[in-house]
Amino acid sequence: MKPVVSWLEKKCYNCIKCLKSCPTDAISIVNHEVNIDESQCIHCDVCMKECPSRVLKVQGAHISETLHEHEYNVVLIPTSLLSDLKSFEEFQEICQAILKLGFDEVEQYSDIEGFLYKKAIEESQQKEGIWLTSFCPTINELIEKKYPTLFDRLLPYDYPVEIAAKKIRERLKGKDVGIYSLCECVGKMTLAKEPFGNKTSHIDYALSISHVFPKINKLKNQEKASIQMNKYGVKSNVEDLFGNRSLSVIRVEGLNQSKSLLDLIEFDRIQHVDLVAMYACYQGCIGGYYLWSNPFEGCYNIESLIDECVGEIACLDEDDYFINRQMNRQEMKSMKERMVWFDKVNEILETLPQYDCGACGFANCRSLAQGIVNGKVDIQSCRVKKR
Amino acid sequence: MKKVYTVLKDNYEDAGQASRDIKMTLKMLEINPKVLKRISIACYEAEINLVIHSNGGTITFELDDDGIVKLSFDDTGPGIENIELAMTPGYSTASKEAREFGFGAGMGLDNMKNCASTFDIQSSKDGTHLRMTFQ
Repeated sequence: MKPVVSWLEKKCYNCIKCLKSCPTDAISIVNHEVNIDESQCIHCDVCMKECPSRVLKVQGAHISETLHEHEYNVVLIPTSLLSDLKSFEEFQEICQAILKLGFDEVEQYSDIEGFLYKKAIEESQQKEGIWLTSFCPTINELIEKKYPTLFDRLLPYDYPVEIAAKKIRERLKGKDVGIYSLCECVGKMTLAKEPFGNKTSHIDYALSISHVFPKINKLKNQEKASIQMNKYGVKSNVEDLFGNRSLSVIRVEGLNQSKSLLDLIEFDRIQHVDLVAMYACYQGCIGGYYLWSNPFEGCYNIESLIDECVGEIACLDEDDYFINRQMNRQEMKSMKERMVWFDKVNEILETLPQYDCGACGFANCRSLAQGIVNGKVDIQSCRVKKR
Repeated sequence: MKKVYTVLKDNYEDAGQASRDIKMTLKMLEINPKVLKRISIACYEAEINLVIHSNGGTITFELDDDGIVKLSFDDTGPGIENIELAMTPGYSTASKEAREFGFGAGMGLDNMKNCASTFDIQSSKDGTHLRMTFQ
């Protein structure tokens, strides 16, 4: 995959806020250049939000350049979009405006989310042990990269948006179809083929909502798309609505809280819970970076609209949603070599101040020590030692 | 590689710190996640046992070149009266205080034995010595 978050050099003054805020220490600054280690990045939005000069961006596809590439274009809209709107009619107007951007079809997937929401609750109660929902791409990457012992506890379900894209392909077989996913968050942007090269995806292009929003706003009028949403799908998008308090389901939002919980699960300390629904963003998907409104009011909006979500739930076969996830692990050196490397890192770490100030361009002294052992920088990078 | 940690009696606040450090070390060394899962669970259980049942002691973590992890838990008493009984799932001598903290469900020793590749426990009133290896 290609790097997702890109750095626009010009206005960056190396304030180190990005690297200090990164939840996985994926960022370093060497020779005034911001580097994001794709093998560590979990595609949250923390660095982008922290950056005061707004030079960290995710560039999605541009419909003006890509719409002509296929005969027939379908756009998938995220359920969380509802949270930005005051009435269901307005939602239908927005969907019609999205269609007018040049698409032939606008399609929702809350019916699929609803099916998987119910399936997740049902299956986790039946099967032994604790299960983790697999709907948030950022959380899934956090687990794969930082909590690999729990990777096999992720429910083996594909992303609803992927399933929706697969279903559209099946339905329009023989047609030259371009499938677009309108995304509310950075994590979802990484799922499509373009622009980041996720070859196995059924989605062709990822678009951020905020990118197309000004155009949608211009096109919006009284015309409504005949689109319906499923209330269980809506529930699955919002932390506060997921599951039922009387069930053995817990809901957690935010990367820090999720990390605390995953730490406890690794020690087998969460023993009376069957399902954990984790979201990287505040209030769940409605806290997505690209939604133009805010999750605080969004939560209220969506709760007041839920009774108008009368769309049917999808009925899926196991073939439609089941996925056999494989951990993406790089080829490893022998344990002996790894221990030699680790000892060297610790040896250098001992000589560093260990304030984790970040002035050297690494998130903490340990990361700097690793950088030194890996030959990326030398010990002179430490500003404190230099003085 | 070898690391020794001291565990204090009744220190519930810091209970689990040694296990966290061991887990973090092994993650940095990219040990097989399936093995790490067993180590984490067993190590945490044993560390909690030191806090709630013993007079305090040490945890010794060793890792050899083949990636075999050895954990030793040595305390200074008061010893386990009947090891066989203590190994029975559900059997617990934990205090009310410990149970209020959510510890002492009585699954500890049996759970550890299931996690470890080898498991050996010796106990007298002068102390309990538990050795586990993982591979």
